[in-house]
Amino acid sequence: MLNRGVEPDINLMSRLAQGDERALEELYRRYSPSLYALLLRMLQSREEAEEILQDSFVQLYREAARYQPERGAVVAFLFTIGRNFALSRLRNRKARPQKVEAHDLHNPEQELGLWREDDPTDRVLVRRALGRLEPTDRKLLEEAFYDGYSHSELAERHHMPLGTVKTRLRRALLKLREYLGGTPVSEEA
Amino acid sequence: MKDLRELLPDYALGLLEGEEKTRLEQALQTSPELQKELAELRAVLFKLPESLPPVTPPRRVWAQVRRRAFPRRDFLRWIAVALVLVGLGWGGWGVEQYHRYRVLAEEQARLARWLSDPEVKWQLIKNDQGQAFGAMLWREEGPCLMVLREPPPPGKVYQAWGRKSGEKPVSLGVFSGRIFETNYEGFDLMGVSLEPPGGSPQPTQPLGRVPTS
Repeated sequence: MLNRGVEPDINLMSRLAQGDERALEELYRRYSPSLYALLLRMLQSREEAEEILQDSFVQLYREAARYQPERGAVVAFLFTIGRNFALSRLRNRKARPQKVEAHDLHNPEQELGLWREDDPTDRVLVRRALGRLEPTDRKLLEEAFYDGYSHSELAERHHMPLGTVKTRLRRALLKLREYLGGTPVSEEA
Repeated sequence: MKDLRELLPDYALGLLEGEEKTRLEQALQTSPELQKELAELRAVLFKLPESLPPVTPPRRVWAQVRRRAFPRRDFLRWIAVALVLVGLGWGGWGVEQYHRYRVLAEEQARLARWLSDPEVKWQLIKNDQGQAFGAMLWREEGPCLMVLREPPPPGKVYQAWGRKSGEKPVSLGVFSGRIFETNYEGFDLMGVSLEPPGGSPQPTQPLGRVPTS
């Protein structure tokens, strides 16, 4: 995972719940580059991504006392906060942002030398797992996750029945879990 | 339970709405199995950003987060800075007051020595209108002490002068207190002027004079 620190994230969250500024600083150090990358991909705007990144960590601090480890990892908790903020922002816009072709931060051909210091094994594994998904399923999953398209919007964009979109999305996520070493998909959707 | 489990992927993606969402959220409150599965799906879902190259945010973002999350500490920090500055101010003021006290004490001690000498004579220093603004104490052998009623105004100093009849005045030194010790020997007149810091080659604002004989 992204956690490279000695102190577990859960401990940092306990300290944060007691108002420890250093704990928030450490969580920010660990996760802000990945969350910022996600927000840039979703919003395609540096200004808005910075704003939502700020909001996300402030919200993480405010909700630290409510965090329950059995409900998921700290990184998922944080990313859920950040993604929800970004989705609200996207849904308030009249149109979805278009990818900025001239300067795409997430085009691997245009690396900016800002990669994490650690071994990018996770990144390779995730890319490989995504590559094993059926291309349309992958596209649906990425458009739902990054662009916040609803089932009906995806059905319209891909000229598919609504039920098919739901089935494919569910299948994509379950397959991804399997490819990343989780529970195998027990049912063919 | 099985149909609720099938809703979990959509819920994790934020695509569930209405009655289905409400039903699932209620079930999640009491079902550890559903909670566990949702946590797993979210963990998988949030692996997706790991396929993106991480981007270090500008430093200003953390500064803003800190300011918003811990505003009171920021305030306390400013209070601490203000207290230090006030402390330094008081310290500086204290040093200044001590310095003034020492100058005053030295002046008083010197004046006491002069006044306790039975050989000392004295004469008023007057301006052109005949008003006295100080006095000169002297001994026959030459030493003298100029004593002025007020210290010079801010940004100015007193300058003492000696003059022989028919000649230009000679500077005997500048002083910013109220007393000045010098020597009148060889001069017919002793005078005081008000000058800019450092003094002037010739008196620019003469205050008054006193004859030495």
